[in-house]
Amino acid sequence: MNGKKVLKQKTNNGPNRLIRDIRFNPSAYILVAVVLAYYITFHYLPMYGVIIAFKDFSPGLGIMGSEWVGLEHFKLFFGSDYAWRVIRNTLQISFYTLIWGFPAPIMLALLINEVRHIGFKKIVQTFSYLPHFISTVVICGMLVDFCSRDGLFSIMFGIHDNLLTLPQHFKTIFVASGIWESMGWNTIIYLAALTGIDTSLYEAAKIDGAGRLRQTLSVTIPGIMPTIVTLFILQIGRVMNVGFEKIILLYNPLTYETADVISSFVYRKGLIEFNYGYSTAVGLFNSVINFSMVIFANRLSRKVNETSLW
Amino acid sequence: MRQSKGERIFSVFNAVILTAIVIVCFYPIYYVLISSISDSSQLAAYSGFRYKPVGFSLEAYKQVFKNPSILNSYKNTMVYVSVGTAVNMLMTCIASYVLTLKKLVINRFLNKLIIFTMFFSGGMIPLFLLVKNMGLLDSMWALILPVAINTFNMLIMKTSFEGIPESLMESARVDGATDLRILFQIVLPLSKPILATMVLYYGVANWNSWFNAMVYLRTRALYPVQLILREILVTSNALSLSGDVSGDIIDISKSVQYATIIVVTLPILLIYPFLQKYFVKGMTAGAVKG
Amino acid sequence: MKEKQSELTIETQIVHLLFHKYQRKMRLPNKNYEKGKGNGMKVKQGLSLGLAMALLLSGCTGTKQPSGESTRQTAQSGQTAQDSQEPVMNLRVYKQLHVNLQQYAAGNENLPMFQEIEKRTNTKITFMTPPVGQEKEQFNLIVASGDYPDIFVDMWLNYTGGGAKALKDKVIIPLNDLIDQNAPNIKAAMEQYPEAFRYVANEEGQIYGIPMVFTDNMQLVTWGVNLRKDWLDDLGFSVPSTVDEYYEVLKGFRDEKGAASPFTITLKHLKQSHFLAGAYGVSNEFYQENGQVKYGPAQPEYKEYLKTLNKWYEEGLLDRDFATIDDNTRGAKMLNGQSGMTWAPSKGGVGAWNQGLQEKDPNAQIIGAPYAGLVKGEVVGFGKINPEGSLSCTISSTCKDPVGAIRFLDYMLSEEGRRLLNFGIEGESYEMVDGEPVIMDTILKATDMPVLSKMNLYATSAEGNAGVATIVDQRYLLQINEVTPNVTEALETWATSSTFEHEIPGIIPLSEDSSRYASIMNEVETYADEMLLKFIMGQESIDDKYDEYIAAIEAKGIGTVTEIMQKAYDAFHNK
Repeated sequence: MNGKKVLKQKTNNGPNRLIRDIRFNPSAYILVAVVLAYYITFHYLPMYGVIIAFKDFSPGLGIMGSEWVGLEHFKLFFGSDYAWRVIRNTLQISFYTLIWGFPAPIMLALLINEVRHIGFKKIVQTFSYLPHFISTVVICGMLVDFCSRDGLFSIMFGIHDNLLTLPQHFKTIFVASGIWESMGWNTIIYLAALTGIDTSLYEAAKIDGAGRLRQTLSVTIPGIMPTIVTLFILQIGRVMNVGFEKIILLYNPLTYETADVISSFVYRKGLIEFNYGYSTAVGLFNSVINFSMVIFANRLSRKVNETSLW
Repeated sequence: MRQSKGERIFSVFNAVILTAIVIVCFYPIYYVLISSISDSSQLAAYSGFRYKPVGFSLEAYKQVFKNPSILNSYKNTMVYVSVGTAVNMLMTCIASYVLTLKKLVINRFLNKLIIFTMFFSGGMIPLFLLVKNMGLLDSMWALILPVAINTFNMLIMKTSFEGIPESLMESARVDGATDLRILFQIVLPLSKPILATMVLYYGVANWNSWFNAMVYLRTRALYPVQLILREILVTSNALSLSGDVSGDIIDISKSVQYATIIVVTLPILLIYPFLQKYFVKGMTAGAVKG
Repeated sequence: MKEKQSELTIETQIVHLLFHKYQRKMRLPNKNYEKGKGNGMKVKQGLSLGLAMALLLSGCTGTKQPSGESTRQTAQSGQTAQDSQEPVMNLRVYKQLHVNLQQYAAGNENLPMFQEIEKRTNTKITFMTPPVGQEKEQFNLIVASGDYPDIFVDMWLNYTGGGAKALKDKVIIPLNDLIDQNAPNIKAAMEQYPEAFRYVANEEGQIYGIPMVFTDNMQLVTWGVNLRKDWLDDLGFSVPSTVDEYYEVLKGFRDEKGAASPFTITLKHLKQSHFLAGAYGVSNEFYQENGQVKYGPAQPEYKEYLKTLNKWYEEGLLDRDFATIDDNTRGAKMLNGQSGMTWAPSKGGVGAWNQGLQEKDPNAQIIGAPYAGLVKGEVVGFGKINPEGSLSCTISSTCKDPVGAIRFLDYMLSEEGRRLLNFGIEGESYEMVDGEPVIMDTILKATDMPVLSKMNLYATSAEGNAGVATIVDQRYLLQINEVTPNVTEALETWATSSTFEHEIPGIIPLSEDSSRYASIMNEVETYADEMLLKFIMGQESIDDKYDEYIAAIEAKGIGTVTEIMQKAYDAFHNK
C-alpha cells in the first residue's frame, strides 16, 4: 500500500501526468489538439480585445496605442440616471422568458410525444417550427399592426388603445411573442431526447400499473432530465442578453420605462457617438453577470442531481 | 390498443390544444404569404386580422425576381450552408466526444476553457483583425471558421454522447481502436437523433445568418441571401441607420418585402420533412441501454 | 488564391480565364503594378465575378443590363480619354449602394455610371460596399480595423469627430497640396464655391475631402410637408401657411373627408422636420440664434409647440399611432385616403404618391406645402435642410497612389465629369439639344423601374449619399423633377418658406468633447423623447409639468452639452 502511494506521488505532478496521459491516449489527444486549436485561435487570441473596455479606443491609434482610461466607461454607464432602470428591465424580461418560455417547449414536446397518429404528429411538428423562420423584423411588423389602436389584439383584449404605447403591457407582449416564435423550434431538442428513452422502461411501468400520467412523471421526465437541466443552466447564462433588435422594433419613448434594456440603451448611445470602449465595457459587465449566474446554477445543479455542465 | 376513458379524453384534449397551436404557429407565415400577393396600397388600410389577400397582385413577386442580387446570393447561401454545416458537424462532434472522455487528464481544464469562451470574448474588433490577418476577409471562410463550433450546441451533444454506455467504447478500445474510429463507428451511429438535431440547428443557423456576412464581406457578389433580405426589410423602419432625411428615397412596398421573405424562406421550410425520420421514437433505444 | 478559386462558380472561372489574357497584356511593370499586386487579385475576381453575374443575370432575369460587357472590353484594350499608354490604375473605393438601387443593381460595379467612369479615367475600381441600411456599423469597423480602401466616399458625420478627427487619426490624408499640384478642376471649384469647401476643412485649414457642391437651395431641401391639394380645393381652403390655417385644414380633412388620421407622420420624422416647432421659434434639436447655440426642447417656447401638438392629437388631427408606425404605413395611409398630410421627400413622396393616387382618382393631387408660421406672411427660420459637407470623397492614408487618386477625383469636377455625374451617358441617358443636356425619355418615362432608380443607374449626383462628389447641376434636378407633377414646386415651396437661418446642420462636437457629449445627450434625449410623447398624448399635463421637465433636463447636463456645441459652432465659424 505504501509503496503504491509513493509511486503515485513521484509521477503525479502536473506536466508528467499530462505527458503520460498523452502517451497513453495518443489518438484522443490528437482530437484534443484540433479542438484546442480552434478555441485558442478564434476565442483566446482575440481575447486581449477586452482591454478596450478600459481604454479610450481610437481607430487611428489601434488597440494597443489607445489611451488607458481605467473604469471611466463603467462609471459613465453606472452613473447614468437610467442605469438601474435598464438593468432591471433586462433582468425582468430574462426571468419572465425563463419562467414562461422555458417550460413551454417541454410541455409541447410531451404533448406531441403523446400523439398516436403519425400524420397529425408530423403536421404539428412541422407547423410549430414555422414562426422560427420568420425574421424578427417581420414578426415585429405584425405585432405593431396587431397592437395598434384598432388592431387584432386591441380588439381581442378590449383595450381601445395602441398596446405598444402602454408600458405595463410591454413585457407581456415581448415575452409572449418570443414564446410564439421559438416554442416549436425549441421542442426539437426535447423530442430528440425523448427518442433516447428506453422503451423497456415504459413496458416496466405499464406492468406496474402506471397510467399515462404516471408514466410521464416517472419515466419520460426523468429520462430527459439531463437535457432539461443542461438547457436550463445554459439559459441562465444568457440572463443579461436581451438582444436589442426586437426591443428597438417594438419600443418607443412611451414604453422606455419597461422596455428600455441595456442593449437598446447602449445602441441609442452608439447612434450619437459610437464608442467601442463604452460598448465593450458594458458587454464585459454583462458577461461577468452571466458567467456568475452559470457558475451558481451549475453548482446548485451538481448538488441536486448528477447533471452539470462541468 | 384499449384506451381507458381518461386516456381518450386526454387524447381529444391533446388534439385540440395541438391544433390550436398549429393554427397560431402557422398564422405568421400565412400572414406573410397572403400579404405578399396583396395589393400594396390597400394593405396598410387593412389593419387587422388578415385571413385572405387584400386585392390580388403578383407584382411583388415580379419585382423580387427582377432583383439582380437575389439569384446570386441564393447560390452563395447554398454554398455557405453546405460547407459551413459540414464543418460545424465535424468540429462539434469531435469536441463533444473529447469532452466526454473524463479519464483524460486535460479534460477538466478543457471543459473550463471552453465554457469560459461562452461568456467572455474580446469583442468584434480583435476577431475582425485576426480574420483580416489570416487573409480570410471577404471570403466564405470568414463566415465559417470563426464560428465552427457553437459551444451551446456542443455541450448539448456532449450530454447526449454521455448517455452511451462506457462499456461499448471500452471494449472497442481494448480491441485497439483509435478514438477517431470509436467516434465514427460507435458513438455517431448511436446518436442519430442528436446528429439530426444538430444538422438542423446548424443548417438553419447558417441559412439565417447575415450578421457575420455584414461584418466580413465587402463584395456584394458574395452576400448571402439573408443579407439581401435584411437590406430590403430594414430600409423603412427603426433599424435603418441610413433612414435620415437627406436623400430622396422611394419606399419599398410592404408586399415586396413580404414576397422577398417568402422567396428566401420557403426552401428551408421544406428541409424538415427529410430529417423527420431520424426523430422516430425508439429506433435505437433498445440497443443502447444494456 | 487557391481557396478563392474553389469558391468561384464554373462560369466565373471561365470568364476569369478568358480575361486573364487581356489583363496580362495591360500590366506594365512599374510602381502601379507593384501597388496593384495585392489589389489586383481582388480586382480580377471582382471584375470576373461582376461580369459573370452580369452575364448570368442578363440571361436569368431578363433585365436589360445596359451594355456593361462591351464597355468593359473597350476599357481593356481600346483608347481612353486619358493617355492610353498609361497602365490602368487600380482603385479601391468604399461606397454605399443607394437605397433606390438595391433592387435593381447587384452592386456599384454594375452601374453604367461607374463603368463609364472607369473607362474615362482609365481605372479599375474595386468596390467595398457596405450592406444597405447598415452603413454606419460597417464603416466604423472598417475604420477601426485599418482595412482602408484608397478612397472613401461617405459621410464622415458617421465618424466620431467627423472628417477632421479622421484626419487627425491619420485615417485619411490632407489634400491641400495634392489639389494644388494635380487637381485643376477642384482648385477652380474651390475658388468658385468656397462655402462648400469650408465644411470639409479642419480648424487649421487642412482640407480632408472633396465635398458635394450644391448650387441651389432647392438641392438642400429634399423633404417637406406633403398635402392633398384636391381636398383643399374641395373644401375651399387656400394653401395653409400658418398654424391656425393648418388647424382648420386638418379639421376639414377629418370632418368632411373622413380622414381617420388627417396628419400622419412617424415619430422620427416629427422630430426631424421641426414642423410647427419653427413657428414658435424653436426646433427639436440644437439650433442657433444670433450665434448662440440653444437646445430646442429645453426652451420655454417649446411649451407652446407641445400644447399645439397635444391639441391636434386630442382632436384626432394627428395620427394616433404616430409613435409606432413606420414609413411604409404612413405612405400607404396617404395613398388610401386615411391621411391628407404628412412629411415626405419630393420625389419619393409628392411625386410617387401623385402617380399612385392618380391611377385611381385623376383629380387627386399632392403638393409640397410651406412650413407653418404663426403670423400670415412670415417666413420661419426653421425647417429641414441637408447638412452640407456631409458627403465627401477622401483619400485614405493607405492609398499607395494619392496623386492618381486625386486626379481621379479631379475628373469628377471637370466639365465632362460633371456632365457624367449629373446626367449620365450621352445617348443612353441624355441627349444634347441646342447645346443643353436633356434627359431622355427612356429614363423619364421608364416603366420597368421607378424613374429615379433608373436615373440613378447613370447619374446620382444630386441624390444625397448616392453620389460621388461633384458640383450639382441644377438643370438635372429641374428635369428629373418634372417627371411627376408638383415636385419642382414642392421643392421651391420648401426652399422659400423657410430661411433656415437657425439651422446648424453638419456641426458636430469637437473630438475631445464627443464622449461627454454622447453620454449626456443619451440621457437627455431619452428623457426628452419620453416627455415629448407623454405631453403630446396627454399622459402628462403640460401646464403642470413643464417646469419640472425643464428642471430635469437641466439636471441631466444640458448646459454642458450646449457649451460643447457652442464651442464647435464657434470653431467652425471662426475658421
